[in-house]
Amino acid sequence: MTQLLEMRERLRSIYGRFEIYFIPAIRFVLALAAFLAINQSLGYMKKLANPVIPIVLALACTFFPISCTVLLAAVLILAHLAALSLEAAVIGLLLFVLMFLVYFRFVPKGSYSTLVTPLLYCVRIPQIVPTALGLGAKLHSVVAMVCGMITFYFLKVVKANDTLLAMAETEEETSKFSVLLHALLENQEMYVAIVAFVLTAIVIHVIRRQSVDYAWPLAIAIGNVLNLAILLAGIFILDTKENILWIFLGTAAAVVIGLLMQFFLFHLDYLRTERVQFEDDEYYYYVKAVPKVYVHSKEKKVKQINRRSINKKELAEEFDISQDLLDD
Amino acid sequence: MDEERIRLMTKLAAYEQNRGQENMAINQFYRRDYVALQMIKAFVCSTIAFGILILLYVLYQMDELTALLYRIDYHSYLVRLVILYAVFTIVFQAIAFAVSTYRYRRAHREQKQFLSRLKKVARLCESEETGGQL
Repeated sequence: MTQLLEMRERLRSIYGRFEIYFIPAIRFVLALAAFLAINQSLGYMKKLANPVIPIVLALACTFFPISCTVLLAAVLILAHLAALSLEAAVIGLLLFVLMFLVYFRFVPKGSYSTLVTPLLYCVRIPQIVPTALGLGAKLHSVVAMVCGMITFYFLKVVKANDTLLAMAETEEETSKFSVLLHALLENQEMYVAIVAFVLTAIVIHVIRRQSVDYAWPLAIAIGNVLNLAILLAGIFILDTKENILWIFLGTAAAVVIGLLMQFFLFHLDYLRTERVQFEDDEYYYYVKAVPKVYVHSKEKKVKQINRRSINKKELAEEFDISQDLLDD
Repeated sequence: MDEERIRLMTKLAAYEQNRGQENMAINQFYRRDYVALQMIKAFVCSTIAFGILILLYVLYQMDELTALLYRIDYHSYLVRLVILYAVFTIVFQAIAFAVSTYRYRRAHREQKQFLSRLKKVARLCESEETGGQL
């Protein structure tokens, strides 16, 4: 355990020293992953299929805030949708503008969860997002998460209906809007997932802020059990199409990430809790103090032993004694 | 070098770099003016957002509406639309009011703290100069 704590302090000090490089690197990796995922899952515009384009765009996003990455991702998605079908592009544009007006205009920094949620959906472990938001973010971030979920399910619906959307103009052109919107708004899988993730994030956020012992592990456990219960209920009651194995794997991954976050952000020693009471002129205080688990990293001292001649001053310094004692 | 002065100045510089600009822009206004401005912006955004939602609904119900075009009771639809718009706008305005009030109070508090630290640094500089002169 001590070794883990020392490793944590070392990681923190490395991050603190090189933060100026880490943050742009994270932005680059996130942007590149997002643009590559969009190109791979949609890919209707052949000109954008060139892998150089996502790399160049990701490099550009390194120097700008995360909201720029989200904006470019939205433009990329709309470009692919426009190549497939004008109707899909129009609905995509309306959805993105709605999300901007309702949420991102007020909280541009909330864009991280909007970008990360569809990416984690692509690797089939999206349950990490509500756990991470509940532990580390403000409550309003769930709106950004829901925006990311709606974007993912919209693109899923577009992919499922791409043959119909790509068809030439017919007399029933208006039905393309109707087909897309019906498929999106009547998607029970999406509603179950949104309810599960929002409730999980809220429950975790509320429980971890309580002053009970082991609040964070309790929050992670209760939140993820709730998440699992709702998703499984969705499969059995509403007959949504979800792979049960991936739900369990995603929940396990969420628990692991939650415990890692607790280790790095909120590691307390509840066995050494102190409760004190005192008063001043205005209030009587009941204080509960829980010490953080902290270990100083070892400082390496390299001592050179060699046969060079040593004078009295150096000898006195090494043995930490007065130089007068060495005088004859 | 005075450690306390350096500590204070580092905090001042960090504040200026992160939230200082945003808070200064907010503190230019009185609370009522700032909140009113944010609510006007929210009103415009909520109107456009409501328009988009109605458009999406029309596209969603396109087939049914086309079939019922000559049999729709436009008056009752309009009344329902106005009531929905009013409810939507009121909710949006309430959220905008709460958020902008909270942001103004936070900006005011942080700016006050910044100015108090600035005065402390000025006092430390003065005492250093007087101490040097003596």
